[in-house]
Amino acid sequence: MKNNKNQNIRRFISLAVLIVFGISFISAFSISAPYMENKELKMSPGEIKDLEFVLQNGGATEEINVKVTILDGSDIIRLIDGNDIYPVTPGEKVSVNMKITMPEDAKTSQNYSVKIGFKEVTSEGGSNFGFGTEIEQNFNAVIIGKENKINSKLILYLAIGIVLILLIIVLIIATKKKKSKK
Amino acid sequence: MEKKGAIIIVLICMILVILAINFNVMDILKKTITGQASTTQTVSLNISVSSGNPFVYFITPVSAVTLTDAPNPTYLTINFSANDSDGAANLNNVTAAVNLTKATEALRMNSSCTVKDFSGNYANYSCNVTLWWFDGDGDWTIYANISDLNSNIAVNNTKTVTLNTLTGFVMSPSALTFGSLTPGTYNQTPTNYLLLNNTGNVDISSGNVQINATDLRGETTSSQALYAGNFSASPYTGGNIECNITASATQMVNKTFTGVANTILAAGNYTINDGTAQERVYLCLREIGGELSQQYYSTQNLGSWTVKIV
Repeated sequence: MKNNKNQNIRRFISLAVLIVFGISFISAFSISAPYMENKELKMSPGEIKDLEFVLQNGGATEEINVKVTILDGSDIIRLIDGNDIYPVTPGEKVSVNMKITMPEDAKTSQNYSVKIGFKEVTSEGGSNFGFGTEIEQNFNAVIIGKENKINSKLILYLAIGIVLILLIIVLIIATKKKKSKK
Repeated sequence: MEKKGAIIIVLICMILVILAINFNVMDILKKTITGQASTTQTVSLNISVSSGNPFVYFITPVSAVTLTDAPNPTYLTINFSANDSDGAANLNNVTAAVNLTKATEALRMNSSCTVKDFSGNYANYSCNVTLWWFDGDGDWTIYANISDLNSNIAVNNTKTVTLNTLTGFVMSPSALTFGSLTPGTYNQTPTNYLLLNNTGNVDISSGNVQINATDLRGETTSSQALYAGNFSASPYTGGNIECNITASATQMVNKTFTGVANTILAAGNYTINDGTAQERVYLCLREIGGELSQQYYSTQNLGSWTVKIV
């Protein structure tokens, strides 16, 4: 009798767990980000840049909601769309706009780590074993000195100018030496 | 005295130049020197006239491309202009083509560009190049080329187009099924596995497929749970290796993203379905506590599990 009871309990737990796990889920979305070599965004102190990320949901059949969270670097980057949840319909491209601002006192070669989480919003209610998906985008905002931004043409012209001035000085000295020999 | 001499020479030269310009001396010389002989002679001549080479002189700048995510292609239009001193009619339109190249990437090309318009020596071409979600991010070189009817080839590869980064994945199947779960048992594995397809152009390296697991609390008695720490994950299976956390399996941690060791999700064409750009993640419930009572266990209490790529 006791043995029978144990078997019944075991069967119930087996059934319950089977139901818990037997919930459908297919999850798909993607994020496009501006190309950054070595995942580095080069900026000058005080510089402001707009960044556009693009959400897509091509592999799915239903609209999903994606929540955007700045996980790291919220002191320099912020969302400017006024809402952090974006509905994404299959086949559509949805823009997520951010603004990144470098502090005026940022020092050359200083790095700011930026991490942005894009998480599919899943319903939490009901008896299920819910699965969600998330994509994290990481990059470093690297400070470059303002001297690096000097136009390379300007450097060339300066070099030519210096060479010409040196030539004139050499010619003057040579002429003076000739005269003094005479 | 020497100085005066030099000044005089310079002045004379300047006067000569001014005179030469004013009196079109070059034109007079051209007209006068004709090569015409003063007496008549019969001469055999072989004259070969080489046509002017074509020239691709302009490629319309292309702004950075956001690839369409899998499984759809991205169509990129590239326009270029060519000229031929023998006239646009001498350009062999069927040879107009555009290639996109990048080291380690497959060639993307359109060898059937269309003529948009032409006039005099000039013609404009429009080419559609098909790109795919797994085409690498960064700068691709544009090769615009065309031949003339004399098989002279013109190539312009001075421009590039940037493909933006695309990060994405699809997770399936539609259900995870455990055959039988009884309290006080160990190493229970579902009959299927999580299949992850890389739908972007970014390689996901080992440890960057992460799972945030939560305890599956009892819906009636929430103090009882299938604990997250009792689950493990692995890209390997067979002999319950996905349950062996002292070997290669990764133990889950409650409410913490944990990288599944050895799980690599390289970019590629997953639709081939041969393992390219695909990774399997096998889950294991390593222990079902003997204290568990008959009730439903779910993520209702502590929230969903999340699979993340970094």
